[in-house]
Amino acid sequence: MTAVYKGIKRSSSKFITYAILLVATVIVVYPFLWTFLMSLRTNPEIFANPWGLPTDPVWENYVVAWTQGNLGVATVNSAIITMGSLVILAAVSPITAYALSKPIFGRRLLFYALLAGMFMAPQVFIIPLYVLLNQLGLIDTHLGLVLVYVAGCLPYCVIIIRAAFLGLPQALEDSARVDGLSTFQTFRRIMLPLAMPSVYTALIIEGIWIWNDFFYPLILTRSREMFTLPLGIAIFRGGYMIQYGPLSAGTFISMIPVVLLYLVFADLIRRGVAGGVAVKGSTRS
Amino acid sequence: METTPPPSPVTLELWTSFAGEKPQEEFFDVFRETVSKQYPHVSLKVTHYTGTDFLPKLTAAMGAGSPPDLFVSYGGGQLKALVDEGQTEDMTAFLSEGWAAALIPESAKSSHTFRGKTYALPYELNTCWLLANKNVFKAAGVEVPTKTWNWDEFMGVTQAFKSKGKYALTISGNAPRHMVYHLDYLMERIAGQDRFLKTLNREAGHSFADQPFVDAFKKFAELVAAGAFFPGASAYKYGDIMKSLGMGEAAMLCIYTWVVAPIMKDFPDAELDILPYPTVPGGAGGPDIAAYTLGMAMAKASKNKGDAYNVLRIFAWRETMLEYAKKTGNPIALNLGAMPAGTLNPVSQKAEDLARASTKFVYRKATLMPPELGSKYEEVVSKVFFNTMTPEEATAALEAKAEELKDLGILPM
Amino acid sequence: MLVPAVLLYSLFRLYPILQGTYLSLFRWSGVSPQKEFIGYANYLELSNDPQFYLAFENTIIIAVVCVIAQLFLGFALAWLSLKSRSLGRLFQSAALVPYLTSMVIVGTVWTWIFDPTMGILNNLLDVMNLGSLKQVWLGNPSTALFSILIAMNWQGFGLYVIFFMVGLQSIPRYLYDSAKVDGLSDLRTIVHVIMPMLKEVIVVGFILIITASFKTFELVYIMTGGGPAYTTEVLAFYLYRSAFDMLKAGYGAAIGNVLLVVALLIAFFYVKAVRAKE
Repeated sequence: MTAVYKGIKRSSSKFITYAILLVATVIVVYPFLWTFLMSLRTNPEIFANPWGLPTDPVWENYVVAWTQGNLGVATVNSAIITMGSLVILAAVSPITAYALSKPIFGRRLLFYALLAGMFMAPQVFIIPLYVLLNQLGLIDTHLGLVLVYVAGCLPYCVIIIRAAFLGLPQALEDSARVDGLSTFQTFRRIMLPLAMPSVYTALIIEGIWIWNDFFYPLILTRSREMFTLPLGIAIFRGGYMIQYGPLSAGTFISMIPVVLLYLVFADLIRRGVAGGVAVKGSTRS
Repeated sequence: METTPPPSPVTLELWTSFAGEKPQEEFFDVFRETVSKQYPHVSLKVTHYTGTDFLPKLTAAMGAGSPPDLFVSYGGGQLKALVDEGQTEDMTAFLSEGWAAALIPESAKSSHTFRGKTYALPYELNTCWLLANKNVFKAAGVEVPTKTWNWDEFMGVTQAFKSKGKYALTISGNAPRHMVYHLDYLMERIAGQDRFLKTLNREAGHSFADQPFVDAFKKFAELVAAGAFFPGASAYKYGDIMKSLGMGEAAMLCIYTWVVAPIMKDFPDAELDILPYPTVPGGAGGPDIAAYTLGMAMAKASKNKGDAYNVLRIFAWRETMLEYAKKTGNPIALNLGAMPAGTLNPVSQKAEDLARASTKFVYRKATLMPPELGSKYEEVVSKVFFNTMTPEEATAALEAKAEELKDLGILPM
Repeated sequence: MLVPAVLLYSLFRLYPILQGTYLSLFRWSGVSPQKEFIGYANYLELSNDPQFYLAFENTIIIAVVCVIAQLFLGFALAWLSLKSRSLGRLFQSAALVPYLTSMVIVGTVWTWIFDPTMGILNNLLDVMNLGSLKQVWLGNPSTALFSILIAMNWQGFGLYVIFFMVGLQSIPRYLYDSAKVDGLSDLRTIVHVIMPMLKEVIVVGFILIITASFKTFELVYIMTGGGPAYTTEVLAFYLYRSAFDMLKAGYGAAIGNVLLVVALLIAFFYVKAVRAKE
């Protein structure tokens, strides 16, 4: 009796699991599907029949989005700024994280400063920041945005990577010291390679965030040639009437690079998360 | 016009709030060419921002000391705030030059003039109406009013729609900026423009909490309570209301004429017409039309004022302005004489004709008032609409803020 | 070793923040360098400002709901994904896609979904014969914040599905098995055995979600503009409106300072929680 009961229970629980996952997948995917369908219709068409499928796919919307939104230039800008920021972050944050994992003077203060900076919404200091960048002649430049993003993403990267360093056994460093390695050499040859997965995680998460950010470029750029991708597509919702077709098309265009990268690096991401977050599990002793 | 040796190349920056509007963008592309042809050393760089981003960007640029040379001006308190901070160039002399005197009517300059000095070149004339979708009237069997009507007749029409299961009005619930147009009218219909100005400028014995203003808010609350507004409109932002009227969700929308051309483009089957805002029996105000002009202002910090003024002269040319009207469908505030037939669509043309026949206009108050008071105005109107504030509380809040601004010396204007 | 990072950070992050603090002591429009020293007046005004308290409350509500929702959904769906291999894999890949999307797009798409006439939600309710549940989602003060929260959590939870999946997979098999031998039901296994092992994930997730919640801006800006009747305003948005709409940049800076104090408090508690773990 109990075996049958257990059998039913198991298969019904399997069914429920399946159902929930299916519903969840639909909820996650559907908005994108609908946006794609919208991107192939014209405004009058959408208003006349909000629910219909595209009758005569208006692929021109993609062309309109690309040209009117100047998306080619915007994509290049987004790419330069994101890659630039990540390169600097990759160079600077591991070493900062390592230093902060050691008992050094002022560590607590610096750590608090980093954390506090991380919590601040950009609106808080955007005006002083604008004035500062203007004085340095960095408004409407790639470099200006890169420096702002590096300063903004540094805390998060440091926290993640530092946690990884803290999870590594002290024994490694002690034996390195015994072998006569300097702190920097210890860092570079032994500790960093072990903490690499967390570096990947941090960079990927921050990279996604920088690519999709809207507010900093909104205020800190002045000319169309400097707009990033989110700004580029925003103009389709800014005018008198929202242009649903080109806006949806622009949305897709802006998501393609990120989704492609995600698919290519999915494995790397998973490994990064494994190393960066579930640290305890990876140093089973 | 050029002196020898040839002047060194100059780049002028012009900022507008028309991002995403193809007609305006095309116009400025052509205008840029016109400028280069006339002044080869001048290259005009036009950047369009969206309506919501325009003021923040302008503010940030001015705050940092590097504003654009030319920018679009909405006049009123918004412009005045910039004037008070010494950021805008005084154009009074420029606008009194020979070519300008006959071209620019005094009334057009008024919203850009403070203490006798004008700070922008007015060019676009925008009037506010109850924009009607005649298809909805037809579907409900309600007659389209053909002459001025009063509040009671208006409420009657509202009920007529209701009885046929339709809605009289749509509105932008999530964009208070465009909700206040009702109150712009109601305040002057009931209290009169004179009294409004006196109250705004803190003359003794005048308060926003006085009965006429309370009555204005009461009328608005009445309208809401009567179920005149399409329920879905509570969620609408600016872009949605045009879709709403075009789709026939309601019969009318209280809005300025800049929406006419976009609606006609996306809803070719909608038959539009403009209706005057109802008068209020016993009110101190007459059937005046609400209007304001859009202008082009110059930053005081501009390093190329001479060239910028030249650009403005070209901007005010008849050809340029006709081109603008044709492309955007928006009436022009300048005295261009008779425009070639078909420059404007019939609805915009009707609006312009009616505006030209008037001498007195109702103010667009949110931009007229200092920004902080304008913001408060939008807030209380919005709260009355959503029934989280009574008309009495609304006017009391407005009065409190006005007094605060008086203490700070921002009022009187 | 630390020098370049510290310099950069101080200049581009700390300096503007501190300048903001300084500027909160002035009446300043933000339009020109003209300003007037008024000491604590801005803070006094803040303490009497009901809109400020509303914005604060909304920000806290968002933080609490997001932490609970995203961590719960992340865990629950990770657990289920591991149980159902094939669909689980598919779901796991799909779940991260919203996270890869810009907040502006998320806001725009969800505004369409919540549209009272054209949106799928109301139309779906009609089709399912639940028409009476239809709302003007973004136009009703009682449902607007809730709607924004749905969009926000839809976007955010995917990352935590991945986090928890990895976390769960790194838990040694024998722990599950021994729990079963001991006769613990599934639920109790989860609470007493698995959760403690996932503490790292939870702490990191907590910090990430709180950070994002306090920075909420784009969604409110796009979906409701702070409405209806300013009921969905959050601190970052009220700050923006004060500085850029009302031209009260000094007042905005004061709001920013309150955010700074809250940020420092959270930082303090985080460090304490992490120290307790170490």
